[in-house]
Amino acid sequence: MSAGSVADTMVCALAREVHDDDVVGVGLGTPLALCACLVARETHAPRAAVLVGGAVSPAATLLECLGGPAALAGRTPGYVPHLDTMDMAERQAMTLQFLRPAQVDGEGAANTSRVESGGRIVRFPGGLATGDVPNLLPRIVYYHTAHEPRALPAAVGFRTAAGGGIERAGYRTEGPVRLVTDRCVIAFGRGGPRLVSAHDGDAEAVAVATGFALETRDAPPTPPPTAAEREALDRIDPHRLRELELRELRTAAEGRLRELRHGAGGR
Amino acid sequence: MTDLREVLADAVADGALVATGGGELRRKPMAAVRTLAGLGRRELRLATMLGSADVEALLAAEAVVEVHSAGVALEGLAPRWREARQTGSPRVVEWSEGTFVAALQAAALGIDSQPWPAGLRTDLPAINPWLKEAADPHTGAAVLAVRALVPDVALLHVPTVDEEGNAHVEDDLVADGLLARVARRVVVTYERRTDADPALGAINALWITDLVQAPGGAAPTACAPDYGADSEGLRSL
Repeated sequence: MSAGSVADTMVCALAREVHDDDVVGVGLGTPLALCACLVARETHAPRAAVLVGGAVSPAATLLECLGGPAALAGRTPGYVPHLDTMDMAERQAMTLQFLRPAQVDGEGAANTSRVESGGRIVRFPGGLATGDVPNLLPRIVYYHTAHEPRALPAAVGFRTAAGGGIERAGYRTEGPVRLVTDRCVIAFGRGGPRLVSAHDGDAEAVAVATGFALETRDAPPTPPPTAAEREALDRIDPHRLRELELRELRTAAEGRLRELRHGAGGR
Repeated sequence: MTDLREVLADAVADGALVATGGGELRRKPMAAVRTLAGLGRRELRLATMLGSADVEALLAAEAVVEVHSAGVALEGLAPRWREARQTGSPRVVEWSEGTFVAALQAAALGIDSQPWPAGLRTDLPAINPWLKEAADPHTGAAVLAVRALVPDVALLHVPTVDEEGNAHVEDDLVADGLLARVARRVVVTYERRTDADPALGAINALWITDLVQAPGGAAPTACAPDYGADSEGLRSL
């Protein structure tokens, strides 16, 4: 499977996690998830509300969304201020977020803080709301673009977020329910992590590349993008900026983004 | 006082806890940050929920001994922040966005700590002494007790100020409203005067200690509607 196909498959797998009655918060730093939210609204979840950096369900392409909320004036019915989006999360008026941690383990715990590598600690720029939202929102979906054992270990090196759900003050959260990687879709739940589908159909290869024990029985290939999803992708992201998060495609995608913003020769 | 250097010389002592407003690449109080860096203040403690050029500039000036934040980035990685994260110097206190706001809310309520329902069963309390897992005294439910964070000075930048001295913004206020309520001294820089209805001000003049005009004072971050973020300027910090 080419890296470009992986990007399309991941976007569609993430989009299918969006329900028609969801209110989803998504930022500009996660273009793959942002693209997935836009695809979901264009296909099976037209009534889902998507807050793009606070701009409510903008009628905009991925490129336009990446320009920031201010650039979406006139294309959105309104803005929700940042602190209000946090209140929405606390009261579950927001129902779903996508997170991209550095590590995820079999319990669904996530690490966006620090990992040990080559005998030294490597610290990341900051976990933003990763430590908060798994205990707040009804559902969390993780994604990771480099499926390998060190990214998906038996136990994360640092728990920025815990797995599992909680009940608090009358609110119930399921916690992290899914992990979409460049190789597969994994479900978290009471029976432990379970392979939902492998993108190329090779469940055993996914198990070998996963650092935690994974139930792989009967896992089918991940369905490729449907005709409707492909049309939506072409309409929403003709420049393939969804590839900004894939290691081998990032540099080229950044070049396209610069050119689109500043013209040929733009820096 | 209307001279920014004079204001900050009076407002910020060595070792002060300085909070900067705005968020990510929006409305960072860069004129104040640059002026503060030029004053040669040392051992400052810096707090910002979502940092960018503000953190980079104060790290470059070697003015900071401790940074509190949930994340710092420019249009990509912030190099000096990255170095601080790797070396542990200056000290970085790692927050989530929710706990950072809870710490300000505790300060706004005038209490020592505030319960926060998230961040439970994580390693965050092990690296952030402002966070302690505790039991709610009424229900026994687990909560994070988040200690109040009370800045000595808040530095905020807005596009406009009306004739009554109320500050107006045209984009997300982020945590500026809370910072104005909790900091012991609130220094607001602004682009220009407006004849907008004072009743619509985002931050009431009563919360503001010092107002200083500083056109372009958020650059290279954005200040809507006057200007956007300047990529070139962010790269040359």
